[in-house]
Amino acid sequence: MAAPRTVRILREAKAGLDERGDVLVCLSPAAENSGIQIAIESTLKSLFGDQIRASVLGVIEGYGLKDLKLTVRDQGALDYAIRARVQTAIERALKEGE
Amino acid sequence: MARLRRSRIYLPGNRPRMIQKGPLLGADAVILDLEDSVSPEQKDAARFLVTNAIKSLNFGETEVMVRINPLSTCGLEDLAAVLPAGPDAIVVPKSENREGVQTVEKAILQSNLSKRVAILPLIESAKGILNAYEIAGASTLVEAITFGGEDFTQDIGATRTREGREIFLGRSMLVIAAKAAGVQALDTVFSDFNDEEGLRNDTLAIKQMGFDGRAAIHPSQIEIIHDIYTPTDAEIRHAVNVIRASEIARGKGSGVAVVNGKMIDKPIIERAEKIIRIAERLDLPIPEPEE
Repeated sequence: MAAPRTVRILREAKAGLDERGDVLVCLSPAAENSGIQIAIESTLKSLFGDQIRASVLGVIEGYGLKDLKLTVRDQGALDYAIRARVQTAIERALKEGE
Repeated sequence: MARLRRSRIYLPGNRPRMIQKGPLLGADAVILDLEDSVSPEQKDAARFLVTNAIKSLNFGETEVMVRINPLSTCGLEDLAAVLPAGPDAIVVPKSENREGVQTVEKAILQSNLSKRVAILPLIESAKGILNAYEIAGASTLVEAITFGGEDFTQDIGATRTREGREIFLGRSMLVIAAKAAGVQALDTVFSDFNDEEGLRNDTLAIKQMGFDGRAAIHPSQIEIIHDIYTPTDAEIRHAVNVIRASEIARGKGSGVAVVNGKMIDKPIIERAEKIIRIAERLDLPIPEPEE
């Protein structure tokens, strides 16, 4: 993971597979100072919604990102997979934005 | 003693549900695959997934191997991503010479890990087979060389058959090279996972040839492979008696012992010792020698 820094997401990016045990992550830019907006879709949201949000936020903060929209469609992914998919989406967004 | 590598199962590196089943499958090793089972546009995603899986999941006694992509494509990027997570071994596909192994060795040593990471070159071409001894001896981190039957068959222009005549010589050369270099020889997959009888016969044959284990592509294959590679009660009992008889003979100053009417010499004693080591590793019951 990259060292903390302030970085902006300028392009959309997706990661993950639409299948059980995985999570589909869609990342898109947001207006300046609009903050980090996370939407979680999961059949287990009432049980694990807070945990998923914390995992996602942990990765985002590690990259020093400030303003973005992120939707997470979870199909029962474990924490390591959620973090990996968010990392992938961020890296793709940053790479595609170069 | 080298690690027990009777079975190692391939798991696609971009499929979380399959990766996290890995520790539960009972295989001696899992191969988290970044190569053939991952499409080119998902290589980045698989690297993150495999890296996080190694860091987060408890694989217990199961050896965690990562098959990187060939060094001629994005293998070095794979190494840079996964090595900090500390896998137990790196499987290097399309290994054809000493230099490839040494490139991987350099990356491992430069990653300054506190643990040892083994190198398992995957030899799957005519050139690789001809250079197998050089590959096996290219680094002290090489603990086994492994055979890739499907790619090898294609490389030599042969047709893959159930009986495997087309890969017999390649397999034999790989075993000889491995043993000459003092490393394990590990065999290829048996692709038709519905053919249990074929897998059983093929695994019996490769065990007789000197292979120390083989790869699996389906969880159902693991039990059959272990069944063949695990010493039976009778083999363990015989091994115990061989070792006891050799000790008695040595005590009497004689180099020759006899068990069940057969002369016991050094290779037989060494084979018996290997069986006992495997039995101990697997916590199998070891009887007292018969007087």
